[in-house]
Amino acid sequence: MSRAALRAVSLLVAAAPCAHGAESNAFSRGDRIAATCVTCHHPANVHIPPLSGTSVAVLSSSTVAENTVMHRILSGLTEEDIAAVAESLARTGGEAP
Amino acid sequence: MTTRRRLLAAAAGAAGAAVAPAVIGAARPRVAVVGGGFGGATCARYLNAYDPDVHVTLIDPATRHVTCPMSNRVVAGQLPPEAITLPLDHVGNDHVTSLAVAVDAERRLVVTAEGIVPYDRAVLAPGIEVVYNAIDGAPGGFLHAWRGDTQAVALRDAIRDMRPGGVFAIAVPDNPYRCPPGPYERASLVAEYFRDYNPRAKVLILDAKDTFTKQPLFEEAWRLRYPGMIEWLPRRESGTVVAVRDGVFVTDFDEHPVDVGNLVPPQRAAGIVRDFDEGRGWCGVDPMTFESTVAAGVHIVGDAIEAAPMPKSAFAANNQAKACAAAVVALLRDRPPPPPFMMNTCYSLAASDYGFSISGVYDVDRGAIRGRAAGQSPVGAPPDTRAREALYATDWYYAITRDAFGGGDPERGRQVVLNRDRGDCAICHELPGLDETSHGNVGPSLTDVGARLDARTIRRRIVDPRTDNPESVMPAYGRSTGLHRVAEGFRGRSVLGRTDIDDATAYLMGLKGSG
Repeated sequence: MSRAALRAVSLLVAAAPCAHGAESNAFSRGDRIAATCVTCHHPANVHIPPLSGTSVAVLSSSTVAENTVMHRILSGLTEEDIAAVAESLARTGGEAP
Repeated sequence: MTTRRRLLAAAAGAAGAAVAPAVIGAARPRVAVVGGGFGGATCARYLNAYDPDVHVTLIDPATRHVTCPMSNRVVAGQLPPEAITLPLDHVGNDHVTSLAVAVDAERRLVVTAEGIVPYDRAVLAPGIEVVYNAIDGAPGGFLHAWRGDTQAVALRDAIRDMRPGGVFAIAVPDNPYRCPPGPYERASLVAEYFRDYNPRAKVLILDAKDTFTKQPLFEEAWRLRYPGMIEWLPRRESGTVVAVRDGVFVTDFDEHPVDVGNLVPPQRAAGIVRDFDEGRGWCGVDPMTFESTVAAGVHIVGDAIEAAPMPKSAFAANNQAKACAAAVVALLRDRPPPPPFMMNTCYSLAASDYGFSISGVYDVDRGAIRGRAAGQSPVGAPPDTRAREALYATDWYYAITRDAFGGGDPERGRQVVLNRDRGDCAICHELPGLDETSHGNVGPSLTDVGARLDARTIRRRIVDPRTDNPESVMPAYGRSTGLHRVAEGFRGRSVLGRTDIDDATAYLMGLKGSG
C-alpha cells in the first residue's frame, strides 16, 4: 500500500461520521466565546492580529491590556471565561468551531 | 384582510393539499432563513457549521448584499460600491431568490412571491424599513441611503455635484434606529470630502436627540479636523424635522434651506415580521433562543428586535445570529439551548485615518440581555491611536464580512488544498499542476470542479460529503461532532477550519478545466 493510500485510509477512519442526526454540537462556553472573536479577527488581517497562538498568557499580557479595544472586551470576561476561550482557540488553531 | 393574510390563506390551501407540515426530528431538519444581511447570512452559515445535517434555505430576492458598514465611505467617495457588495453564493444550502411576504407560524411555512418554503424552525432577519408618516411631504425626493442599497451612490453623486459653498444637511431620527453613530460618521466623512473638494461647503446635522453616541469623540474630531464646517443642531435648539419641501428641511422651530439633503427617517422592523411586533415597531424575543415572544418556532435576530442594551449594529446582529444558531440546532435535537455570550464593537471613522470605537460584552440574565462590560475610546488620545483604530476598522470589516458571507482567498485556498498537513486533497483527487504519480484517483478529478459544481455544493462536500451522498468514503473535513474514533489532536475541532474551507472553496471554484 502506498504512503498516500495509507494516509487516506487513516483519514477515513479518523473522520468517518456516525449515523446522521445522531448528535449535534454541544458547544463549550469557550467555543461560544471564541465565536465572538472571529467577528474581528481573521487570519488574513494585517492590523488586528490572528487568533492562532492565543493563550491565557497572551490575553493577560500588557500588549493586550494597552490595546484600544481588547482591554474593554476583556473586562467583560471572568478569569474562567479567559481560560475557556484560550482553550478553545488553542484547540482549533484560532478558528471558532 | 391584509395582503399578507390573503396570501397566507391561499398558501394554507396549497400547503394542505401538497406539502405536509415539517416534522421535527426528521432526518434533515429544515431551517428557513429570511434575509441575507449580517444577521441572516451569519445565522445560515453558523447553522451549517454547528450542525452540517441541518438543511438551511436562504430566502432573499437579492443575490448580493450591499453592506451598511462602510457605506459612508461610499457616500464620501472613498470606496466604490463594489467594495461593499458581497455575493450570497456561500450562504445556506440553497437560496430562494424571492421576496418572503409572510410567515405562517402555525403551519411552519414561509410564503414567498414564487412559492412556499416549509420549515422546522425559521430565522427572520429582515432588518429595518423607514417610516415617513411623521414627516410631512417625505421623502420628497430626499435620499436616506440607510438600507444598503443604491442610494449611497446617488447620494455620493449629489454631494459631488453640490454647488461650491453649499449646505449638505442630515436629518437624524430619535432612538432607536440602525447604526446609532452612523449619521455622525457620515457627517464627518462628507466633511473630509468637502475639505478637499468644496472647502466653503457646510455640513448641517438636524438631530431629533439632544445627545448622541460617542459624542465627545466626534466633537473632538470635528474641532481638530473640520473646524467650523460641521454644525450640529440638537432637538432642544431646532426641534425635529417635521416636514420637507423642495430644498428645505422644516423643523418644529425653523426652516433650513439645503443644497443636498439626506433624510434619515424613523425606522421599524421590516414588513415580514410586522405580525410579530405587537404594534411596537420592533419584535420581542426570548434572548436565550431569539425565539419570538409571540410565534413559536420563529426566531428573529438583528436590527428588527428589541435587544437593548445591544445596539442595532452589524456586529450585534452577527453575534445574535451565532447565539441563535446554537439555540436552533439545540432545539431541533430537543436539547437545552446554551446560554448566549455576545459582544459588540462599533468602529466609527471621523476621517479615513481617524477611527474610534465603542464596545460591549453581553450575556443573558433572568430573561433579559445584560451588559457585562462597556467602554469606548478615550477622548484626547494621540493621533497614532486614532490612525490605528481606523486600520482596525478596515480589518474588522474584512473579518465580519468573511464571517457572515463567506467567500475566500483562492491563493490561500490552493495551499490548503495541496498542503499535506491541511487538506491534502491530492491523496484522492487529480488537481492541476500535479503529475500522475503525485495524486490519487479514488475520488473524481477536481481539475474542472469549478465548472461542474457551485460554491455551496463544493463547500458542503468539503464539510461532509455524506450530506449529498451517504455512500461517500471521503472524510468530513468540516465536522467536529458525530465522528468515530477521532485522532487525539483533532478532538473538538474539524480537520479544516472555517476560513480554510472558505479559501479552499474559492480555489476549487476557479478550477474550470483545461479549456
